Amino acid sequence: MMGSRNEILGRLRRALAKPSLEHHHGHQPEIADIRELFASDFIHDSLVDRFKKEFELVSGETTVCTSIEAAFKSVRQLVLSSGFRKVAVSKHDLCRRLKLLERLPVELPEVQFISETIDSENAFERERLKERLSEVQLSITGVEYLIADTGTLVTIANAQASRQISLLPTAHLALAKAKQIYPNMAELFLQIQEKYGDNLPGSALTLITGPSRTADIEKVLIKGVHGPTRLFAILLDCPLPDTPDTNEAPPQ
Amino acid sequence: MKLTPKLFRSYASKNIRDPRLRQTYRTATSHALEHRSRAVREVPEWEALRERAHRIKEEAINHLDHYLEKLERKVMANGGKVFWARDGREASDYVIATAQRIKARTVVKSKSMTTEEIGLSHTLEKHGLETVETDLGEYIIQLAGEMPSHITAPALHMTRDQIGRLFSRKLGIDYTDVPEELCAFARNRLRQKFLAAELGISGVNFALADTGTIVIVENEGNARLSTTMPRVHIAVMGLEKVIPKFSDLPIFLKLLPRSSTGQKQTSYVSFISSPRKPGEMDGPGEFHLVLLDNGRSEILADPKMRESLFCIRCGACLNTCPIYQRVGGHSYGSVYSGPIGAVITPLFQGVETAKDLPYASSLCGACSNICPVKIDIHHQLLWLRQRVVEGKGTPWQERLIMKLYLAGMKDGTLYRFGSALLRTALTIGGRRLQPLKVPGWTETRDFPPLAEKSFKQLWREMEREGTGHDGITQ
Repeated sequence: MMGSRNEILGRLRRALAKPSLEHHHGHQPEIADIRELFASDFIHDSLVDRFKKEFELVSGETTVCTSIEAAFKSVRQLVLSSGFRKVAVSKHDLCRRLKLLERLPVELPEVQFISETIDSENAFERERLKERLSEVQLSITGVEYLIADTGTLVTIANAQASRQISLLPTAHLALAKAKQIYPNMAELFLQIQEKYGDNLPGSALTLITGPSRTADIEKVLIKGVHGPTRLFAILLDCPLPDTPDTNEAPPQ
Repeated sequence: MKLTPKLFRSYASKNIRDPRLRQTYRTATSHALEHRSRAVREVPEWEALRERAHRIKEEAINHLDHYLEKLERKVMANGGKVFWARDGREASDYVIATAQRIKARTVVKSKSMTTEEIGLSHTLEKHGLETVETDLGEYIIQLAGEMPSHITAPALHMTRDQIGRLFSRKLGIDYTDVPEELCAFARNRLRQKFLAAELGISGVNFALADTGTIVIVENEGNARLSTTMPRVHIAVMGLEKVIPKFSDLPIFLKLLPRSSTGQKQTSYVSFISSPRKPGEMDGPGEFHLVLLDNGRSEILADPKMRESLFCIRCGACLNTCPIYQRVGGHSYGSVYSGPIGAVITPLFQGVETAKDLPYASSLCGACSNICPVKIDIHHQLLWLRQRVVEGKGTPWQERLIMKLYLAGMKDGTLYRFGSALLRTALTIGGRRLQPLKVPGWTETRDFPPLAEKSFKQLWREMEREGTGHDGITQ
């Protein structure tokens, strides 16, 4: 193996000893600051309005709530009206604050609620979790960030939520706070870089923009090919006292 | 069905006479172009973004050894394994050895042009591993036993009824041509494979050297499943996929989906930096990154062609190419089709094998104009044509004509003599013979007719008649 490695690196170095050809069609003046390349994505009106608009353009469904109680009622209404019978709830801070696992089973006894709680070091339990989440119709999770310009949710694999909880069920509901919204991808990436340096958090970070989709058969758009068919977001647009595991507010 | 670029001419002349296939390509490419132009119009910084992306790729490719070593160090520090493969065989052997070590029986694969390039699925199947392509388009062509016909839409050449018959024949379901039903069936069937598979294989869109992260851009969610559900994940990337920094990525994430499908953002973008970390409830216990050369270091050593390594495989040049639109992806006889395929296939497989591909272009430059990383595709095709000519890959008649033409153009007397001779030869007994037939040339195009009188003759006549040189009677 080291043989191949050193041989390939040797080939690359020999190849690079030859100068490269100058790019010979019209140069644009180079813009060094990435923020300028995203200038037209900067949002001057409300981040919440812009997120909602873009999220809905990619077939997401949004509700904006101004209190924890309103958000809880909105979750309950969604479960009730969609007819979901099996719902998984992550351990994310917002799910706990809404007391979903305490209150929903009482108010909706016909629906089965499962918590994503396992011993993560037990391989058997991890296998079981895959199967259980595959049978679930709706998952409810928090997210780390949102991007207004593209209507994107950003999740990070950690002890509060798996990668697959937002992927295996037929529908996914994300709970988020308005202050988690960043105007565009450049702003968010600069913030992540500042916070984490070269060590990205979790084993996987995922950008989710709308439900799973395909156009592989005659360019016909079909939603829900491997991942969720429907994607919901409930945004809490109200001051919430901070807890240790929430994110800092984006710089404005 | 194994295709070869050697037979471009015969595939192309067959496919161009198939009206149904022409219609399928016309609909699909115009659909993609329409969405793209709508998505690009709303970005005033588009040209500046392209230029920046070009510069980033240039930096990465011109210091490829440095960034690959940096990537390797960081992936290993994050707990992943890195394997360098000189060619497809070494890469496949590594995947097979890993599969055997973990006693895998089922392998799920997400869409990857690099693994198509090395025929990985076939090799795994030959070694007794059930290997399932999980992207819907890839799943369809795997069932059909065909090559992808487009870089981003592998089953673009098939119609819904063809897919319906294929599913019914191969999977034993009742015939339907409703896309939603076919898709739902594939979802259920593939979900079982995801739950059973021990090994997941993915490609890589971008590898970030500073954070040791691979990035995968997709819409279906099959890449997320392939990299999440199995116990072991192997990502296979061409050496050229590395970019210097995490903070470079937003540029590419703005260019790629818009160029490819006209989306502002695809449904999913996965950033994978390591195997499952302690406390996490899922994710593979092992993460392997295979760095594949397979001819890329030779392209790097070729200063005129080096830029072709900037390609991010968006497929926009295919959609916009008047040749691709008409002859279709399979005519190229390679997993890489369209203008960029016509550049890299001869570089990967040898100019002798793929000598017709650089000619599969009208040199209109639409490919270079649409390319989000500003690869000068049509000039690269010209350089390749030069190599075909130098390697005596053109027909002897063409070489002879070009030699005579060159001699005539260099010498005024010879030029006048030659054109007078040709003009006389074409006017026998006062009757003009039109058009001139040149074997292998005039079957598909007309030889331009010679003017009755040469420019010099006209000029002399005008002087005699007292007409001014500007054509106005004095």
